[in-house]
Formats: sequence, structure tokens, C-alpha cells
Amino acid sequence: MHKKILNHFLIVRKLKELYLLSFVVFTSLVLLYLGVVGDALFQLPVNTKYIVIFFKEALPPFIVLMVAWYIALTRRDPVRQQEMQWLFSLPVKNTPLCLYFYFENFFRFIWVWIFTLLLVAILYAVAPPGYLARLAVMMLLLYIILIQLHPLLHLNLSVHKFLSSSHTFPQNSHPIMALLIVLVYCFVLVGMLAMPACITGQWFAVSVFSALLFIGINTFLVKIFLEKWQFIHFAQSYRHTRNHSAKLNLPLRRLLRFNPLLLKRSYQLLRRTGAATLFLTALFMALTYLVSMNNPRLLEALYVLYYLLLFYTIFIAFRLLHDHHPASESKQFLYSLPVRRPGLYFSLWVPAAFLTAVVFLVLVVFVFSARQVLSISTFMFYGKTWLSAQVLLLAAVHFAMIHYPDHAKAQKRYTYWILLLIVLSALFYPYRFVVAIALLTISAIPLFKVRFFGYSGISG
Amino acid sequence: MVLPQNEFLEVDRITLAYGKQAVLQDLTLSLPAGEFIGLVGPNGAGKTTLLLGLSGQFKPLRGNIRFQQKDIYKENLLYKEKIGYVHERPFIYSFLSVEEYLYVVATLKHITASRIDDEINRVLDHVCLADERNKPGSDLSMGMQKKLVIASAMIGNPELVFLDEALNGIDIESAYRIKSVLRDYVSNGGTVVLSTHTLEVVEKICSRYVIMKKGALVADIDAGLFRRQQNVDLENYIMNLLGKK
Repeated sequence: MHKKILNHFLIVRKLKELYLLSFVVFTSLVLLYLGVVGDALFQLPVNTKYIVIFFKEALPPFIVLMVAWYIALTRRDPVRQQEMQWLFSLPVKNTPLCLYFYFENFFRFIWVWIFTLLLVAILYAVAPPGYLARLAVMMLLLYIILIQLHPLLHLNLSVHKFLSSSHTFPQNSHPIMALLIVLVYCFVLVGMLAMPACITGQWFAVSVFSALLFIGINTFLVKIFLEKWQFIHFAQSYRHTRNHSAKLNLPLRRLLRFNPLLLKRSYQLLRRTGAATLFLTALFMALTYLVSMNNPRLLEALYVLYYLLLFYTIFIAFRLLHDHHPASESKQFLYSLPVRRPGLYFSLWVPAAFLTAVVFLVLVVFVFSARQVLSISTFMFYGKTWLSAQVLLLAAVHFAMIHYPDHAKAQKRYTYWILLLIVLSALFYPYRFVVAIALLTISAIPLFKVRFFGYSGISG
Repeated sequence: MVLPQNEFLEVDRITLAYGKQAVLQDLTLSLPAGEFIGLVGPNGAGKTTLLLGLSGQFKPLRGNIRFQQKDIYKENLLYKEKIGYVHERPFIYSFLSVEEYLYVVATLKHITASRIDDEINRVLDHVCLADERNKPGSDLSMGMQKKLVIASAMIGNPELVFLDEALNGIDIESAYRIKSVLRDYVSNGGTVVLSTHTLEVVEKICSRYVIMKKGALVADIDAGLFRRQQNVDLENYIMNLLGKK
């Protein structure tokens, strides 16, 4: 009876995915054929041009793909957990259950492999098709291994006597495991691009055989762990996940404990203002990349990039000033609780500093790698730009804290400060960094007077 | 009626003003520990301003306020770790869930990591919000928001709790539960200052009545003594004091 139920369930659920399965099987067979037939098994790229093309054209979308995979892996899915609970309540044997979960996971993230396939196809003009086909087959096998490895690691941690005692460790380490999986996928792809010989000739056969063996062992282990897990640990971990589903799903949560305001600010950025900022940032990045790439001279392109990045920082600084407005940063909250200056200071600065660090890194690496090989000068330029941006951000933090709750005054004073910085930097151009540091220091002095209560007798 | 002075919370001739307009002038008050104090008075009497001043949120123009002999505006952060405050209009962050909000407040109050989960569970049980722990702030009704801010004020077992119209808008069961929790808290040595217009609540649970009118203190009465000596109820007594009867 239970087989019937499960079969029916699987057929209905899997009907839509049947086309996808056919596509994956057919494509992988074609790729395998292309990769091994005749002398294709021994085809190798003749020079390293294909790696340069990969870094110039395929790397940016590949990074976006990996970020999307990481987000998808770490996203909690209560419906899936309810489904698991329902399946565990049925008299279903372990092997079909295990296979069912495998297929579920396989189809959930198959877009990762499909997009990888498309990105590898960009190299068609500069690398032999046999090599690219073998690369795609290996990436499929790697994808299957990683898709198995994720639940295997999770189950292993969950059933471990010592680690599972509180049921928090497997849950908290979930994002780290996801990061590990994404990084392994990235590094193996780059490794196979850098060392094409390792998937050529007999080494290809060895690689495929090892991967299949690994998949077999993984399946066996997952089956054993799943048996233990579903009877003992599922109910507890399900309860735990349900109770903690709304919490910040990042490995940083424990680190952020030293500054609860930073935690709050992170939640605010992720849940409320995150989408708008991310959209504008993506738009800015695309435009900046185009502007920098269309400038024929590298030095000029770098100057343009430097000032565009500073302009972006000013946008983030005004966003920061806006977020410290009493309507979004409660006066009641700040005044009635023991809030400390350093806590508030870092909670305002760190997320903005992190955002600029990431955006600058991506843009600088893209622009440099598209024009020349990455070198020390790339990171020197990156460091200089980021530090200059921090001067602008820290000044915004100072004004936001000093003039709180008068948000309009803070914005006005910050605008004057920026104008003064521009004028003085232009007048004393050789000493522009000294001027910036001096102005930043002056803006920080009133911080010592900041107190978290209102003053009687002072209007407004 | 003069109560024996002690050194829990001492208010020494404070003047609180918004701009040039003084709301409270030369007010002196002494609040002992382990009491449930009901602060009553008509609208505009200065109850909320007094509570803000007493809780270290609004520095007086003149005079000082000492908690356990220390000026609360000099030792402001240390003082705020020991108290809880519920504002009349609760403000909570819409992007934080109930549990996250309490987590942030608990961490700000330096509650140790090992105690934090127990504390959150305890206060959520007290205000009947345990089932809503994962709800985001934006999904909470006004009553639930009030319950959440009461829970956040009670977190970490503070020595002193200020409630500004805190029991308004809360359902019967939760209000009953919160009142009994507050009574237990006071019987265990805690102090509550409750500002309210609901005299039934004051008569029922408060051990001391502080009555204000136009920024001045008009009465400071021990509830037990009041019940023994006065032959009128609190409502009539206040109406007489305010000269409305």
C-alpha cells in the first residue's frame, strides 16, 4: 500500500520534472559522447586564451550564479519541512525516501549546472569542443556530489551525539556548509580550467569513475544517517527550525552578539531597505562598468572609476543619514535602553563599510581583469578607493549621531562638510588626504558630547 | 502624609521644561523600593514628563535625580540597565520578529548568552506572547505591541519598572496575567511606577498613590493608610483634591 502511495505521489510530483530529467540525461549523454569519441578524449586547449576569456566574460555572471545558489541553499523552506514530516508519518521505507529527497534536491538546483553549461559554452571559440564537453560532464558529476554532500554533512552533524545535544549547532552551521559547497564548486571549475590535463585521456575515465564511486558511497551513508535522523532528531530539529525561522540566517549572527545594534541594523538592511539599495547598487555597478570599459586609456578609466565610486559612497552616506531618522531609528528605543556610543557608531558604519568593500572589490576586479592581469596595483587602487570612501562614510556617521534626532540638520551639515572637503581638496590638492583626515577629525569632536537622553529646556 | 525617606529613588527639586515652557517645577519626591506606585492625574498634569525624567530619558533643567545615591544622568547607562520602561505609544521595529526584538533588548541590557533564551521564554510566557514569537513586528496588533514592550521592560529582572498607560488596549486575559506578574515582581522586591487613568487598576494593585495636577504633586499617599483613614473611594478623593467636586 505504501509503495502505491509513494509511487502515485512521485509520479504526480515528478510529471513536470520529467522533461527536465530527459533534458539533463540527453544533454549529459551528448556531452559525454562529444567528450570521448575519437580523439576528442585527448583534445586540449592550445594556449591560455580561454582562461582570459573566462575571467573577462564568464566570471561576473558565474559569481552572480554562485551568490544566487548560496542564497537558495541557505533559504529555509517550512513547506519542505512539513512535507518531510508528512512523509515520515507514512510507512515508507528508507531507500525510496532517500532517493526521493535526492531527486528533490537535484531538480531544485539544476539551474546551477544549466547556467554553468552556458557559461562554459562561451569558450567554444577558443577551446576544443571535446575538452568543453568533458568539463561540462565533470561539472554535472560534481554538482550531484555536492547536492548529496550538503544533506550528508547536515545529517552527520545532527546525529552526532556531542554536537546534536542542543540542536543548534547543525542549524547554525547550515550557512557555513552551504558556503563550503559553493566554494568547492567554484574552485573545482577554476581548477579544471587551469589544469585541463586532469580531465583528459585516462585521467578523465579515472575522474568519472571516482566521482561515481563517491556518489555511491554518499548515497549509502545518507541512507544510514537518514534512518537515525528521522526517528530521533527530526522532530526536535523541526521544532527548533520553526522557532528560529525568523532569525538572521547568517553565520555572522554569533559574532554580532557583541553589538546588538549592529544585528538590528543588519536585519533592517536585509529585510526593509535591502532590496532598494541592492537594486540601485546593481544599476550603478552596471553603468560604472560600462563607463570604465568604454574609456580607451586605462589611467583615465581608473580616475573615472575612483570618482564614481566616491559618488556612490555619498549616496550610501545619505542613505545612512536617512536611516538614523527618528522615524526609523526610534528615540524611545535609544533613550530608554542602555545604548552606548561605540555600539551605535559601529552599527551605523560597519554595514556601509562592508557594502562599499564588496561593491568596490567586484568593480575593481572586473575593470582591471578586463584590461590587464590582476596585480598588486589592483589592490593598491582598491585599498586607496575604499579608504577614501570610509572618510566620507565616517563623517556621515558622526553627523547622524551628533544631530540625532534632528535629521534635517544632520543632512544639511553633512552637505556643507562635503562641499568644504571638495573646495579645500581642490585648493590644496597635494595635501588632499591630510585635509580629509583633518576635516573628519574635526567632525568627530562633538561625538564626545553625545548622550542618549533629551535635554530639558532645549526646544526641538 | 509624609512617608519615611529611603535611598532608592530620590527626586530633588527638579524642573522639567520643553523649551521655555516648564512642565514640572521644583518637584521633590522619594520612591522606596518594593512598592507598586500608581501615578494619577488629569491630562497635561506632567505624568509622562515625570516618568521620562525619572527613567533617565529627559534631563531636568534644574535639580537632580538619584538612584541608590547615584545621579541617574551621570551614571545613565548603568541606571538604564537596571530599569524597564514602557512608553504610552509603543514603538517596535517592523523588520524584527518578537523574539529578535527581545534578543536585541536583552543583549543591550548585558544579559549573559546562557540566560538569554530562558529570559526571553520567561517574559513571553508572562505576557502570553509565546505563540507569536516568530511574528514580525509589522504583523502585531496594538495590544500585542504593548505586550511585547512590557515583555522587553521586564527582561533581565530590572529593579524598577515604569509603565506609562501600559495596560490600555490589552485583552482581559493578558491584562490579568500581566497584573499578577507585576504583583509577584513587587512582592519579590521590585518597584513599579504605573501611570494610568484607570483608577480601578490603581485601587486594586497599587500600594501607593501619587497624584499630580498641573505639574505639581498634590498628594502622595500610602494605599493601606488611605483605605483605613479615608471613608471615600479614590475617585472621589481625587475629584475633591482637584477641586472638581
